Amino acid sequence: MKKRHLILLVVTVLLLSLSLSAYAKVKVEFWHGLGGHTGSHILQQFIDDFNASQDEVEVVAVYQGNYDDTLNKYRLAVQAGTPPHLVHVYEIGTRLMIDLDSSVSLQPFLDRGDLELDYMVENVLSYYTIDGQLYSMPFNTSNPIIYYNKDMFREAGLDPEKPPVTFEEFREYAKLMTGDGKYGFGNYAYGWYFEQLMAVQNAEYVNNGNGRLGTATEATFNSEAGVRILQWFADMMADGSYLHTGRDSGALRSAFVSGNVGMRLGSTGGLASTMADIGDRFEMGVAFLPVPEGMERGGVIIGGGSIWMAKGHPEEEIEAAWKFLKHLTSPESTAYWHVNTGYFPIDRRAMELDEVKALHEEFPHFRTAIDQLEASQVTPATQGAVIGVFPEARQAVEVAIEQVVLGLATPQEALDEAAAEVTAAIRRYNIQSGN
Amino acid sequence: MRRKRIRSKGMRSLLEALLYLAPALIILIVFVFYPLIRSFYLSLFETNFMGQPIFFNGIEHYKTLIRSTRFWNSLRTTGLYTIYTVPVALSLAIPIALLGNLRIRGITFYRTVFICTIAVSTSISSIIWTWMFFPTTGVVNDIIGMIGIAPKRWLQDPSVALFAVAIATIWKGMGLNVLFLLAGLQGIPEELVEAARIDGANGWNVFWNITLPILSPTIFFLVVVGTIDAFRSFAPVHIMTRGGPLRSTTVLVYSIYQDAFINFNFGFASAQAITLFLIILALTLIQFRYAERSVHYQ
Amino acid sequence: MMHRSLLRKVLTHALIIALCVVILLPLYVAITTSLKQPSDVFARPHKWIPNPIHWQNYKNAFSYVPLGRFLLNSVVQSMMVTTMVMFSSALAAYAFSYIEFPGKRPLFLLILATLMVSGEVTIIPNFLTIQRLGWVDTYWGLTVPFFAGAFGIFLLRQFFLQLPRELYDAAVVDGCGRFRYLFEVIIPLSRSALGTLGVYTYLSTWNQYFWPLIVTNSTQMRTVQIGISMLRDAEGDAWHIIMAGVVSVTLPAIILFLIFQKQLVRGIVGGAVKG
Repeated sequence: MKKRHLILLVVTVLLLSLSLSAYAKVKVEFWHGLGGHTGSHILQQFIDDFNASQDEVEVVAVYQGNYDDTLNKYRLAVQAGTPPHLVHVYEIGTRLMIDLDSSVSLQPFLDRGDLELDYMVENVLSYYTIDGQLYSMPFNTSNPIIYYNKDMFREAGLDPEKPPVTFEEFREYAKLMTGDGKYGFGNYAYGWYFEQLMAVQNAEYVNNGNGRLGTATEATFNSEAGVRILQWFADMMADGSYLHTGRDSGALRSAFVSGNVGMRLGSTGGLASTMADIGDRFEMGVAFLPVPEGMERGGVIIGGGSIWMAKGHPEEEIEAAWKFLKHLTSPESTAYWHVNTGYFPIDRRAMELDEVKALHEEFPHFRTAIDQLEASQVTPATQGAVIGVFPEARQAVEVAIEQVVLGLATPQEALDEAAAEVTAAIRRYNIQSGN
Repeated sequence: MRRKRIRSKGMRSLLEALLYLAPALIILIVFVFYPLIRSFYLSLFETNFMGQPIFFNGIEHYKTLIRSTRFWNSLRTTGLYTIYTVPVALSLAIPIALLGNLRIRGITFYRTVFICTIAVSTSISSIIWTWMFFPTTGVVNDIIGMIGIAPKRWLQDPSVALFAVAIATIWKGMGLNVLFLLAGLQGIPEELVEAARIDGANGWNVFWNITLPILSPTIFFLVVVGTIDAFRSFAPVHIMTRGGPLRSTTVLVYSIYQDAFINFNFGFASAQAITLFLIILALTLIQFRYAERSVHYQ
Repeated sequence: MMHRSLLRKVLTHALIIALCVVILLPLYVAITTSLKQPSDVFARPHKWIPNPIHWQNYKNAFSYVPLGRFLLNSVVQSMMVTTMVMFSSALAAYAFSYIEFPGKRPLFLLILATLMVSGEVTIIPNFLTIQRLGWVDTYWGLTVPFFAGAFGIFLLRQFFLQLPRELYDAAVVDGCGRFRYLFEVIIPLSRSALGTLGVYTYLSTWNQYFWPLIVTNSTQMRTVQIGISMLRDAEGDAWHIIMAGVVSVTLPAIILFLIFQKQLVRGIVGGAVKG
């Protein structure tokens, strides 16, 4: 009796495995740059769920180092003729990826009516649409916001429900919260915030419509708008209310969540984890980025990354990869990302889902970034610059910020130097890419 | 006739030598010399994003390099970093090794502590020290605060950042340095020290005239490996400061990394690499010519 | 007199203990941080003793990243490189110290010149070579480029040169071949130099970051250093979990070190040849 059972079992298992191999799933390799909890837990869970939900595609997600590392690995793999199917690239790598000419445009897939992007948030779609083509699928999308410590607001006699709206108010509040080893404003030299504060003023970073109307040839961020940002930093430095934490976001985060810093700029992508780090030490608020007084608000540029599909794979695998990309943009998927991280729900229908509604009810913080992006005008300035040397440009701007906060140069001098450097880099890039 | 014999003898010995050299030579040719030649070739070109040559540029990259203050700065930073992590580290490690060589109670335990950082890797020590150097929540500032020193911006202030990065490296390298120095100290004959003592030599005399000469091969070895490591140092800078603030920690290897892997300017990166190679070549030759002579071998 | 020597003893101990505290502090900080609950990590003033103890961090670190597998890969990688470097260096050093052949000096200097060539320079051509050999994502790709190096050749040559020569001449005349002489006489006499080379090679291989990242594609082939970077999160580091990872990979290394400490020192002191 027992033996019979055993044989039956073996036969069943054999049959099952045979039938499974007949329906072997198409493997799709996906390289990404998300480390820590976000990559190892939230993304992995998402992939596992997708793999379990259907029996055609098996996505294998592999972490390949941070964004820079991932891009390098991809570049080498392309050169070696062995790219993965999908690769996750930061937003500022968009121009370079197009010029590498190693990926498939997504436009043909969209044109065959496979996926409706009518509900995708316009700013997101327009960031990745260059020359009328969508090259890559928006993935983790973030925005900068002000994070602030409501307890410190109260101690300084400020209304915690009225965060600063203008640069001037911001400086004023920062001053009020400073003292006793605490700082009103904490910041690290990060080019992304500078880009955002340019967009807030509706100012362009490079010429030719931020590189969207034609190939950019010159950096223009050393304009009045740019100087205004660094002057604002310098003023707060002079007030003694500015804590500079170098190039390290971690040091700033530690200062903020430990309650030593009243306000900081930060990405929405870190919202959930920041709240976890604070615990019940203090009450945190979030707000729109400030605007210089008397200026009409331009808007913010999206940040984060998108997913590119590499050339040179068999049709069947390309289709499988496309299936995953489609899944990525569903309302449920974008809701999952939003709820777990604070990244943006890029499909507007996600807002109607219960889990998102419940989250916003409990933590209105998650709502702020969405409102801020919706309040943004869509202009070349807020669509974001398109240049191939963005990482290099960021470095140059970061050095300029450091020079100013360390009191080694005036904002104008520092930005002129950075702009000259970036212009030279753009020229070199244009030669390299044959543009 | 005779010359012919000599030549054939030479050929035979060359063949035999090559047999012994083959494993090392094959690896070195494929993975060191070939890439070096390739880099030199690329340094004469403008390259595309794949690091492939697009047009001949002559010595243009080298000209830019010589003129660039940034290059000279990163060279200076590399030199300074080497000074921090080699002579400074060794002058800390030698007294510690001497303490570890004392015959006192509990010395086995103490010795183990002195050496234990050998088990810590470079990136891990960089991560731990980054955390300890945090400006507002880091324990380093907490501790110096206890003894009344004002908090420092370790990794944010360009005047101390390189030193702070070096502290992590010195800490991590302490284990290896002390381990080898302790091993070197085992080689000191007891009788010699006793005899010197009887002759009235004090501790300082003994150290200077007996200990140091006997340790000299060990110190020479540690200077060589320390310098190699300092010139190749990438992880500490990458993890702790990303070359900032104000490029104050951008050592040459990091600058090469940035140009090749962030800016995709491979021709220029290659020119820097070749220049670095030539500088090191010159230094190595000088170092070995002089240092080798002054080292005391038993 | 008695009094003075006692004072001296106390002072020595005090100095040594202070040193130990300084050296152990970073490890202490790593361990305590790894045991804190998330909301205590950034608490002010600093919490020197974690309370409550939060073991969950370790569970999380291991669930994020297969640290055990990474440790194994690192050990295999370091062992392979160490063994091969010792082998290739001994052979080459032997040729450079015992055989007279044309072109010896220039060849030696040429090799010496590569002593400090950094990996960033050679990485792209080397990756393409490894790719052509089909070794991407294998132990071969991870290790073969490091199977020989100028440092080992240099170190052993220096050592071989100090060994007494009389034996050699006698042995070669004796008909004991050169090859046998290397294995039967030189290598046993050179245990200390080989030990030194071994320790240094093992450690520098263990520390590699960039090459293993470039040449491995799958999580299964990753090494410890990359594993730790996988715990970092661009949107905000969870330091308690990073430190749990740090401790998890450092502790085995420290324990290994404690076990083999004696052998390690003996290996370096070796059968100390007094020439």
